[in-house]
Amino acid sequence: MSLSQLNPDNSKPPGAKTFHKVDQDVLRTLQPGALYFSLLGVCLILIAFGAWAWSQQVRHGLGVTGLKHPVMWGAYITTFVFWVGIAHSGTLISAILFLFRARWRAAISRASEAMTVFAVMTAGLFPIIHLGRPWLFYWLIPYPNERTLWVNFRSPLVWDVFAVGTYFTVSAVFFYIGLIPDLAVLRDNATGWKRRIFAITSLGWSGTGREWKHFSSAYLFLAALATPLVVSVHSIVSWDFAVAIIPGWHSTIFAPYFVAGAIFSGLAMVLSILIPARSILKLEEYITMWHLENISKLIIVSSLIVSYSYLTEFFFAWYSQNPFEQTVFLSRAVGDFAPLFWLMVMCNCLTPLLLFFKSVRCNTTILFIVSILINIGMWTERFVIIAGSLAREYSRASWDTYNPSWVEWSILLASFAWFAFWFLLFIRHLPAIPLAEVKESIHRSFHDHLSNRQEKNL
Amino acid sequence: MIKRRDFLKTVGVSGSAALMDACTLENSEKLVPYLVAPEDIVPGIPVYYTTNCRECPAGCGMLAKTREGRVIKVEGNPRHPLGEGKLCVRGQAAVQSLYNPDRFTGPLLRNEQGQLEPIEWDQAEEILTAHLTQLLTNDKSQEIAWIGHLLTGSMESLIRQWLQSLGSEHLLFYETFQYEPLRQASKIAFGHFGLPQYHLEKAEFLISFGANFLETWRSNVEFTSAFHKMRSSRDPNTPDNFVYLGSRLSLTGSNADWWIPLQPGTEIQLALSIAHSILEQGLATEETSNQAWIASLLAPYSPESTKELTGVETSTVRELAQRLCKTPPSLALGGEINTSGEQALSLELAVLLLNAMAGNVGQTITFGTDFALNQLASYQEILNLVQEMHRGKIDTLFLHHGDPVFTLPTRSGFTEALDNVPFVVSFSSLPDETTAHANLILPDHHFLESWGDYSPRSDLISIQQPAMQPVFNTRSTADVIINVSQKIDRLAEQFTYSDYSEKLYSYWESAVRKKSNKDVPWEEFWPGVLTNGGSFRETAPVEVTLKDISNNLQVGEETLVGPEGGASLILYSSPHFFDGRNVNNPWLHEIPDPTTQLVWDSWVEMHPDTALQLSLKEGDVVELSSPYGTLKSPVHLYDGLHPNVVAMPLGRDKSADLRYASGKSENPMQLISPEAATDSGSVLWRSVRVGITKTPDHHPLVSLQLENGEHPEEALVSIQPVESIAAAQRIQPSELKETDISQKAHAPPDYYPPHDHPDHQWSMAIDLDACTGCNACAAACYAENNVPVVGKELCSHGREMSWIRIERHKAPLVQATDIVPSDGISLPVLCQHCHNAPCEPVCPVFATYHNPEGLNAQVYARCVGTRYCSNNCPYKVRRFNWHTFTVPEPLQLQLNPDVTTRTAGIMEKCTFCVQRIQEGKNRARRENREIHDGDVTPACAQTCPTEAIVFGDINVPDSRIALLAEHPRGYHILEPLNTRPAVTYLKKLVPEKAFAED
Repeated sequence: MSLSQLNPDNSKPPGAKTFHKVDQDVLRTLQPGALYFSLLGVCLILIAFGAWAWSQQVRHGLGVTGLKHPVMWGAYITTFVFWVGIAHSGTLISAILFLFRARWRAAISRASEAMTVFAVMTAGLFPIIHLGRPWLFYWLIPYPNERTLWVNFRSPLVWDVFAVGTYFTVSAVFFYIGLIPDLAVLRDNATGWKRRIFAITSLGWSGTGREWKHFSSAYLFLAALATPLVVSVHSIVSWDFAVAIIPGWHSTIFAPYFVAGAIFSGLAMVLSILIPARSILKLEEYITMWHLENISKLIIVSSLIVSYSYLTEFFFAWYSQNPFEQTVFLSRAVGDFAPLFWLMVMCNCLTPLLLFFKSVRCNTTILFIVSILINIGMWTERFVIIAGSLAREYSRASWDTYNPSWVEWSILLASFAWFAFWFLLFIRHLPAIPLAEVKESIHRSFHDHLSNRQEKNL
Repeated sequence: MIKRRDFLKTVGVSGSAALMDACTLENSEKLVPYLVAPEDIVPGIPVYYTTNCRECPAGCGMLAKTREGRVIKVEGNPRHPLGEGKLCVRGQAAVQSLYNPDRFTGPLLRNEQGQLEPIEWDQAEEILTAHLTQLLTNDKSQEIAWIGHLLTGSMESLIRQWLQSLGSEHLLFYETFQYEPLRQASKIAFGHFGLPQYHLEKAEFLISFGANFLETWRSNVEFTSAFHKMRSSRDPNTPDNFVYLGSRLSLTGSNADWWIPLQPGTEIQLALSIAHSILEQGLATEETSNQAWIASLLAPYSPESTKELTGVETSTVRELAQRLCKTPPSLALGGEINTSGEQALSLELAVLLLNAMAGNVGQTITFGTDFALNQLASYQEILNLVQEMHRGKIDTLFLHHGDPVFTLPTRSGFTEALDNVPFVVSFSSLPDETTAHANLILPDHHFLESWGDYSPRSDLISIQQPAMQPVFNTRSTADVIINVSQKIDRLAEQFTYSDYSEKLYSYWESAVRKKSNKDVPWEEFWPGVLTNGGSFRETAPVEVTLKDISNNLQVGEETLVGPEGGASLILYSSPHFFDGRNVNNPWLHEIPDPTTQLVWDSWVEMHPDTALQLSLKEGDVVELSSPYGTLKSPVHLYDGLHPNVVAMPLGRDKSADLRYASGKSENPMQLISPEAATDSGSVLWRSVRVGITKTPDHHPLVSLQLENGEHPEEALVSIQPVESIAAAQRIQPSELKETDISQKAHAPPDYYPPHDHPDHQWSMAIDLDACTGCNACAAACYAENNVPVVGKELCSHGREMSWIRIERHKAPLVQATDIVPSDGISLPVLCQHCHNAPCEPVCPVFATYHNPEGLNAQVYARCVGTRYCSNNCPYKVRRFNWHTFTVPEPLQLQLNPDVTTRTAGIMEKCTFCVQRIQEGKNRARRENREIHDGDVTPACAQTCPTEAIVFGDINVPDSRIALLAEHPRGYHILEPLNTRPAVTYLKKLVPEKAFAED
């Protein structure tokens, strides 16, 4: 199934939406309520707690985590990969689907882009949080220095710095460029100091044809630039593992496997965010069941790819007759991490199969539960791969198991709060739905409607 | 008028002076130079002092390495015949006894409330003087007694003289392991009281009746090294020349080729049936084959008749008889505490008989050298003194080292008797069970702080030099005695020495030089003694003949007291703690016990089958009860045990106020009989059966190697079985011949070009056939490289820091019957310094890299702590600093100033002792020469008693390492990964055939 086939047929009748109504509906979401402030408060408390937990780690050393010899990477790296994965679907929806002319994406593209930026911001913290001496994190960046110390370009961790850095830059710019026409709308509707800020950030947008022409090409150009990043960033993240010699990590399928997993988890996260958001913000008219259904269909595809990858890994282990590989995979299925492994299979392979049923796809409650399960499953997947393989490495005498400590759990929780914090700020201050694109689609569907009618008349 | 040039000059000079001044940090520490520099202290240059190790009565030669006036490491003294430069794990850890943070910091007096309070030395000596004067005035000085650890030479002579002039006759040298049965048996069998001298290195075949000579038995370093000589010269076609008999497979046992798991108490029947078989097969020596008493003595012990009792097949017995006699000389060793029951003396007699029949006497067993251990009082004599104490006949008791309250059977009544003695003076330098009962504590120096001498046997006497100023406000016991005596009128004229060193000189002049080196003037003799570490000479063996021992041989079923159906209790001396004297040395706790791989704590060992019957799991606390006492202890499941036996290590824990002894484990001496053996006067180490009751408690034991034993997923083991790992490390003689070296040289193609090592390429070889798993290397590494100790809690979280670990690989033992292969492998694993090191490319900041000398270097200052290197290390030898580990004062004085201490967040690992490499290179450069083979020895290789670890520059042709790297037994661990390690392992030689198969 190609992505373009997900295009809706254009027979949908135009709604009663007018450009003004769109403005009003979306700008209404920018009014803060009690719920907003209480959520923001909860987030800040959780972030503060996570920061305190991390301060304990900085002060006392990584001994406060559950990490140990030989499981030197655990919850932090899992969470890093998880958030990088979440970031992916944002780019997928906003850039790749844009290039494929999947116009249904318009209403959800802004939220997805924001998700990308915030997820990368969250992910980027974790490699630093996990360092033994985090105050020296900048040593991973190649910068000229008097001691002529350089970074090791053979290390995948240096590739990570570039991959994540590039990804953040491009997605932030992409996000901002897309915002410009909407910022102009905000400017026009704002007064006082807010107006000044929006005036500056909208770069003097006045909506002329020339501006629209440049805007469209810039957006297209950035979409084209972001698209390869979807593949490259998570490929590089997967090479953190694939380049190592650890059985269970050292595998050629890791790049596509991780990219598929990233998209899978990202789409699930889009659902997890949009389903409550659309009902709270009363945006059902804009983010419709039709959008949710399309995302569900994409989830099915990526779930099947991920399930296939799981099977392939086990097949390789069996077919290679490599005892170390076999030990790791047998241990995944029946060892210390088996409960997590089977949880992962349940969440990532079996639950998404429900989405084959239209009734499930159209039930937001079930859809929300499924999306949460997938998020849990994808975190678990990375955990099983990372910790489970390290615990059963070559040296049998060093085998051990791993349980994250309260510090790691707190920081994981804080990462969700950190992400939510930015997302809340975003919803409160910027239009969660791209006004320009939605207006454009109203315009386009009106035209489509007209031309349909003309064809019928002929 | 000022010229422009002058102005610039002035400004330049004053400006830079101001800058220089500003460069000084406010609170920088000031280095205070010596006002008058001591002659032999050059900052940065170590000074070595010869001394001798007093961690156990073996008395190996020792070198104390000092830097800036502090002992930082001890090593064996290569010129000393005992140890020949090697030390065991306990010897290596002796520096931790020296700097032990719990040592008494000065003399203490028990006040009326029963509390110990610090006093001044003058006051302490006055109190003692006053007390002794009072005794002398009241004519009660015969009520003085002295129980102390083994002393010889000047100190012994001083103490004897002192007690004599005081009028006391109670001088008892007491050690926990006293070998009374063997000393008696020699007297009975050969008319020569005392321990025989064994020459393991000459033996072609060795059989040990429970004697753990690689651990604590008599002189373990000496025996380990001799054992290695014996093993390395054996015929590769019959590599199985060591059989171990006993109910518990000890470290020594696991180094044997075959283990005969015996029902406890049947050792003697087996020994006699072997003797019977020797006679029957006509293998005995002429003198013994014609002795009628031997024939009649052995008649009832045909292999067939003992089979039922011992469970050993007749074919096995016959084979043992043949092996003992066919390739003379052989050697049978007997007698450890684990075989010492009421028949201990008879067992020793039977073993000596075996030796005599096999023609070993005069060959591998000689008499004529007197051992210091012969002077030990027997346990019976201790009991007699206890009686006196009970009767109030002892007024003053001096306790000089040793911890009798802890090491004597608890029911012996010693503790109660001690409380019956009005004045107890302890010279112990560390709190222990006994000092808790002392009235006056006059802490002695550590042996590294004081003068002394020790003569473990009559052919050598070692000097003990003070290698540094005392750490604490302690005073040498000898000096205390001299000081006190000088204040007592009756003694003053006899003790005119200014201090003990004067006594020592006069002793060496009169008793050593004049006796053995008359021709050498003192001025030459004494420096020679200090350089060599003592005075050594040859003693001629004495001819002995076997006497009729049949009257002394009591053979019967061993009677054990205790509940019917209970398990017999075996106590064994801990290879790390001996009898518990160094229980407060944290290295010894943190280095895993060699047989169990457990750290910290104490435990009771139980066969898994027995545990299954009682539904006990690892760590479940059981109550052991014997007629003499009960105790609780966590269970450790160990398959190297006869199912009817439970075993407990001695001395792993004490209840005294020591920070590294938890005090949670109870003393197993509570369980055993307080009686002494009627014939030898020895402790009845094996005298009880214990009832085992499960308690609801669970006390997790921490093992650093989860793989052997009860790993949660036993199912997983089937994929990559333990046997296959162990098999990779073993080689059979026939494979050895087929090995084609040229094939080994073939290396798979690499993407990256190989590293260049133009000058040096440091490499290591580890001979698994020689490694006994004694852990001395691990302790040496801790000492040399400032490796931190993390404690039980962190060990249980997998945070131990040791740079070298001894993995134990053994195939699961078959059900304990008859004879089983016991070829456990001890695999020392340290950084392999791979040429294709997986850790190197993954480090983002080049904190680890391959240096031009072939080392996998780790730059601590550059490490940011991503830990990727450790993940990617297939050998799992990298250690991460989970916290900033510190040591309590004054243990930090031991830190090696040549090695950086590491802080939290940094990865570390074995460096091949890069500081020693640097030192070796510097030495060669100073001497203007190339570096030679043997110039550089890492700490682990330095102390290895079997020289299993060989280190060197592979670029030096014909160096030992260059030859070993191409050895036909050589292999690399995880070779298929193509990491190309710099460490070559030599496989262990194992027999191809079953024991009694032709």
